[in-house]
Amino acid sequence: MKKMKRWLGLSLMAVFAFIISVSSVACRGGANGGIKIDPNRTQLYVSSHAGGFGSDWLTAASARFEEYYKDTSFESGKTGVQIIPDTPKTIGTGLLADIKNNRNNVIFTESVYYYDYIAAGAMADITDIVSGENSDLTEYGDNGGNIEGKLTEQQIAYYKTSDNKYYGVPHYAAFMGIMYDVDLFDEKMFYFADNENNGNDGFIIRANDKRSAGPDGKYCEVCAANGYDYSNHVCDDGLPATYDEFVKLCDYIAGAGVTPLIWSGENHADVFGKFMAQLAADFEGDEYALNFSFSGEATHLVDSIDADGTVHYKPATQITNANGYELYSSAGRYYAIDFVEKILSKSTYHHDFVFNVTHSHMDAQDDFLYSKDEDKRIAMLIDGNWWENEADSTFADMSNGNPNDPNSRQSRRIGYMPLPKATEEQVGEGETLTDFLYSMGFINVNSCDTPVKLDLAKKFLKFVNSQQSLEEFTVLTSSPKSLEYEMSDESLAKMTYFGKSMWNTRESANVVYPYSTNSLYLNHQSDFVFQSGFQSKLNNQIVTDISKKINDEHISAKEVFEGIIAYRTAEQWAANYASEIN
Amino acid sequence: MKKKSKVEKKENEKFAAFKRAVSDFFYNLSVKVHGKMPHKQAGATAIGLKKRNDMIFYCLMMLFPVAQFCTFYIAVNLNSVILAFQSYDTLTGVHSWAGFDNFKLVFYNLFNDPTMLYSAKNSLILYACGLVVGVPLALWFSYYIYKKKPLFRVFKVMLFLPSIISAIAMSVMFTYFAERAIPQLLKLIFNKSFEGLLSGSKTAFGTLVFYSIWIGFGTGILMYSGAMNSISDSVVEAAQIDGIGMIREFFSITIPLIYPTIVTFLVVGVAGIFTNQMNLFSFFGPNAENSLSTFGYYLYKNTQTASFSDYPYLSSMGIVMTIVAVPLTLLVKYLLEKFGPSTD
Repeated sequence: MKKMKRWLGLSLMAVFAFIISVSSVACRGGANGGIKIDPNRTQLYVSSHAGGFGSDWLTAASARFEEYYKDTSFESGKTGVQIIPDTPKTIGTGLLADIKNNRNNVIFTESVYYYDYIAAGAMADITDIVSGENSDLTEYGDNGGNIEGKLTEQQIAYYKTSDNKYYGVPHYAAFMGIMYDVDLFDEKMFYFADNENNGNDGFIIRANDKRSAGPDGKYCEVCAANGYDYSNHVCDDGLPATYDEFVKLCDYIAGAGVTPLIWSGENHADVFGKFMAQLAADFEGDEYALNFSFSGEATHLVDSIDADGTVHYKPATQITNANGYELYSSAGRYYAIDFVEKILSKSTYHHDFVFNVTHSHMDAQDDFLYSKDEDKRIAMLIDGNWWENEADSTFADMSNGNPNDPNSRQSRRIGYMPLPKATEEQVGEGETLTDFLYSMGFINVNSCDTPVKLDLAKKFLKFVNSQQSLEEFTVLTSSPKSLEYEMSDESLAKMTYFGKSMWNTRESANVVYPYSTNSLYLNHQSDFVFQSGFQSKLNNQIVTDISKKINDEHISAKEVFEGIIAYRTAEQWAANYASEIN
Repeated sequence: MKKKSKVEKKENEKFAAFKRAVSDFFYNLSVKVHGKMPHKQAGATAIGLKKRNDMIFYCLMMLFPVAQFCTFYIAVNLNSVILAFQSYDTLTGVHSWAGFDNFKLVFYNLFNDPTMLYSAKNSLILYACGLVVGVPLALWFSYYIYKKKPLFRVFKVMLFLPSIISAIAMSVMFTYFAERAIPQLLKLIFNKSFEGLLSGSKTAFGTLVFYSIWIGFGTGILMYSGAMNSISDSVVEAAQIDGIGMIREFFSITIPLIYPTIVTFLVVGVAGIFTNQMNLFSFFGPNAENSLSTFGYYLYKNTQTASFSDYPYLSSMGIVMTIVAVPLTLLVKYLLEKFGPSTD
């Protein structure tokens, strides 16, 4: 018995010793992402949020940066740089709370309350590399210029503090939208014909039938010349130009035995919140920025809505901090709800799981992609522009990792659909996008303790914002960065169909950023996350999940819109923002 | 020879006397010394040293928890109280005195924002359901286990299992059960489509209340059955000799004897009205519908998404809740102790 106990004790000790040693090895590997520290090079720690945009771009940029400085010595006894990547999940205030203990020198993240980070002293001053004496990007291959030159006026006004300093640089651009399966659209000819009375309910009968001009209101000359060959050409001809056309398209698609739409059931409230914000921004154009600046003239405020949906406008109104609540009656908001009501009007327009709590965003992406091999195909996905990068493993799974396989990410043609317009009058006005993720790259203030690291961190932050790096990011993620730049033909040729269509839309669109330096906005940032502006008072209940309410109770867009106005009263505004109004 | 030996003897005697004198001197000195520093005093010094060492050990052991308490409880809460009377300017990063402005806004929203009214209603319903359904059922199951009735071990494991499995794992399993399995089962029976229990607007609240009670069962059963096991066998045996039945034993002996444990649970539950988030974050993240909100969820969700400038308002809301919760909890404790069954 004693012997047995001894053996048992020894065995347990051996098991514990094994577990501890394995864990410690794993921890060591994990701490540096499995990278062995090279004692002959200077290390730079860089983190990139583990979100939909992934970190392939960081791997590629790091490799080029290491190569660029391979013969440069930054500290005695060492030559070259070694980038140690990190992909944390923590963002926003969570990241800020522990930033002093964060060892990463350069951080790329999202959901950043920029001025809170500044007030917390979390970020190093990077003015010299953004607009100052060390900002010239020529050394990294640009034809002169600096990072500030790649920012819009709205971005400069926000990122440049009152004492003319920069602490962060915008990172990736995030847009909500509708992704459509171009392969399926081509195969089933889900395109509007130019001739509405062609005997096929206005849809093309043959692939080379002349198509409608689409949301941009212009006929594409390339399409007309090549017989609408969309194999390598991205174009909006034949796509729905208005909300009504979109509904007509859904009917047509459903009639063809295809499920028109899918989105994440688990995140449907978030998806629709952001999607409605995108629709509202597209309708409002530059006026959308009033929702954050509270300064300027609003011309789209609704006075009344007729039973048939006809909107009557108020005279142009000057918006100030005192009457910011007026913006809750903007027509963009009403039409966004109207669009949601339309696509929820029939259960045949969407997948069964679009309100199911178990249906994650990645399930929706998978269902959309895998439907190609199933009886019931899915034509469109509502998601953010990061979706393709996020679904990279699904593409790889479907194509066995072969880029030439018809199911690969490189081969499948999925497009970012230009948003249809609320009214016929708006067709041809161009698209306005809103970039809503508040993403940013900055240098952790801890780096200031080590001049070598600070210098290197600045070089890296500058390097990833050079022309070559911006193009590389766009190619690898199929998404643009939140900066103004061009894409070379060479880079465009490397992009997936989706990446090209996203870039086309981004390039031609007006982008409005949901922030300002107005004290009312800055002191209540969480209140002005635009999607929360759709909360509506219905039956004395504040409804946040508008799409579910519409779906379950068939409440009209007009009722929801009137509920928003009933909730966002002058009295409520004055109570909540008294200090900024007076 | 004899003469010599006589002389030697005399000398030896002198030497022996001298030795004795020296020895006596040192002995007397030793006695004097020992008399002046007696063993009694040495004992007292040892006790003093021990006390001092014990005190140092105690202080060292308490240093960390006390520092932690001071930093993370007193300082944090004090900071929270101060924050409630301040406003924060994001652009300059400066806090300034705001008086009762934050409290005014809290009271304005409490009486004008339907979300707050829903949160209050839901929090109270959840507590009431726990009180009316959860506590009696937990007591009854605990009693069943305590009496070692058939399959009591199986019940014990089954009922306690949800408490030891990770909360997220449990909520994921339950989500799939409620959203996929149940609708599928109903479809098989009734041949028509049904919404998931959590996504259905009419079933979501009931499902969440059920889940909260079910998931809380394990702790209740563990505590109640533990308390029941400490009931003296002689009391139970005496009652059984008097012919008491199981039901009577439950109400007349078991409940009164474990009443302090029940009181503890009920009092903690009252405080929980303001903190219980009904597992909403596990199921819906920050996107739960307002009509499902509880006070706990409301505060947690808003804190998660808050910027610096939101903290003063949230602090004042926390203080308002504390002001309501503390007297309410003390009142419930007082009433339960005053009007509850006696162990005499």
